[in-house]
Amino acid sequence: MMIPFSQKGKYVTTTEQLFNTYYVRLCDFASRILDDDEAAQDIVQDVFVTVWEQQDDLPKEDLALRSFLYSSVKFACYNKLRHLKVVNKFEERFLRAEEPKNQEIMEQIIHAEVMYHIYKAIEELPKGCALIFKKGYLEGLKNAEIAQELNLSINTVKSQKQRALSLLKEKLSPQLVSLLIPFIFHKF
Amino acid sequence: MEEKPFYIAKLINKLLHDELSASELAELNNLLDEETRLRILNVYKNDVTVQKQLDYITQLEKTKGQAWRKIVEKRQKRTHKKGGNKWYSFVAAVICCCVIGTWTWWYMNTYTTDHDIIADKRYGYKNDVLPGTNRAELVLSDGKKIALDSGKIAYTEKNGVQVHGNQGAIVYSGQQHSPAKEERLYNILRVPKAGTYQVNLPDGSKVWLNAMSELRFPVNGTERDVYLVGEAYFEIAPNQQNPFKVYINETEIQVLGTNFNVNAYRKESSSTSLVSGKIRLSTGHHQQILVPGEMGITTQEGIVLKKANLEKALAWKAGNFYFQHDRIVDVLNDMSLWYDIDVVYEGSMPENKFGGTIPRSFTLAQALQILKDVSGLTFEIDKKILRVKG
Repeated sequence: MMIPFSQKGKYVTTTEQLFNTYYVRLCDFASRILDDDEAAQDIVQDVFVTVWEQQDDLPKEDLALRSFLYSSVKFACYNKLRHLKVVNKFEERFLRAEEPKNQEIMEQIIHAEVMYHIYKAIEELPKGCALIFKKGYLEGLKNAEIAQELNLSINTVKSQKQRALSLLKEKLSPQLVSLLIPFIFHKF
Repeated sequence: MEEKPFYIAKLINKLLHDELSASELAELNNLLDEETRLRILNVYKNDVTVQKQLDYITQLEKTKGQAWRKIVEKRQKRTHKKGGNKWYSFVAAVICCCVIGTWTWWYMNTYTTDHDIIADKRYGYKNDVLPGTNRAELVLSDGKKIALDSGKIAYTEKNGVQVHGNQGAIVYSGQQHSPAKEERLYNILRVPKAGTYQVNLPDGSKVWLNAMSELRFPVNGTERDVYLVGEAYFEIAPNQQNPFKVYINETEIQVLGTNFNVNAYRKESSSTSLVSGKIRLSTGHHQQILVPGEMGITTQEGIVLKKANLEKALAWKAGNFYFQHDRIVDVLNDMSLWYDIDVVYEGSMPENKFGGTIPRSFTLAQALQILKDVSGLTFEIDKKILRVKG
């Protein structure tokens, strides 16, 4: 099969771009339906393979594209649930293998989108302080451990955390940050 | 699919940034009824949920490169399938099967047999072991076995009594059809090592089962005699006319409405600690009445009453190991049930006694870190074998 290089190159970048933008939140969304993190990643990867093949027919407009991706994942999850139901008919497992209602799907899309937004807000902090903040906040390391790992003094770690926190406060509403604070601080 | 959810998500993001204008707020309220709106927004007030989901997202971001490579591979495989030499594909398929087969075999041997074994990055052990979790097996009156974890279950017994399960507890509800010509139906709740589970019985009493324990109970709401192996904490619904009875080997505990803990791991003796109310212990010809704060130890010789250490007796339910004047062997015995490990002792163990608490949510390596500091012993973890060196 001959594909002109430029076209091939274009295909790769666009699917990869889509993947980079949507992979994580689609996995989050799928795992909310399936209640299974591993299976969710598998399904979303398969959806991207299909998307790649249909590259030319994808919706051009952003919202339509987004909604196309979410509904592809949704139907792939439904298929998986049906399959699980048959496979486990005699095992009485996967009893929650029911297809969620439209309302529930809508709420899960909202959560997947909002959670990723919160994650990105943390991600977009300046590099050094984001790294320290993430180590403490997302990976649960103590100040002393971070200091050791990054070869910094404990005081630097502390002040970078403070800086991250006040920058976050500018990005997110004070209410949300104050909600996050208890579990940021208990790891200090 | 419509585009509404994305628009709502956008508004909520703005709300979280405190950038939502009055008209946008009105729009959000218009798009979602109050109940839905509160349900959605409440998710962001629960720090545990938010943390969990952020953890998952972080993990996904970290493995993104791998995921992309998988997609490229899958895509290549599909393209090859469409055209190409059949011979070649056949050989490739055979090789693939061999590789996958070997890999699965190896993977099953090293990992899948035990999801509780994880890598240890902090303490220098070969591996770490996760603590126990909500898991059990329910045996219905017709012998059907149901695996319980945190997923939902729902069944109706022959007599119309229903059982629902979710998040570490099963709950019985509903009345039996015809109390007159009743058939005695029993269910059994079996909790394995490294497990714990709660059951709300048909009569309204609640029972928490510790690891490696089993409770057999009637499912009709009128009978109140249950059979226990292992350890359990009882909160009995009061009913003066119809006493609740717990049977452990030869011992009978008669209850009128009360909270108490029974530890019957050992065949030859069991101990019952009373928190509130009143219970009567009987074994053979012996009988004793327990008042709150007392512990009754039942052996073949009879019943001995002692002052109970309620903090210690109930620690497991509160989510802790609690040690006081315990030898290292006792401590590790207790822990081996929760981590489902075998303990091997090498060299002589110190006779000194230990005291303290360790959260049951700790991984094995975390818990050992504490013991290491107080005991001076060295530990080695090899899958689910713990070696203790004196």
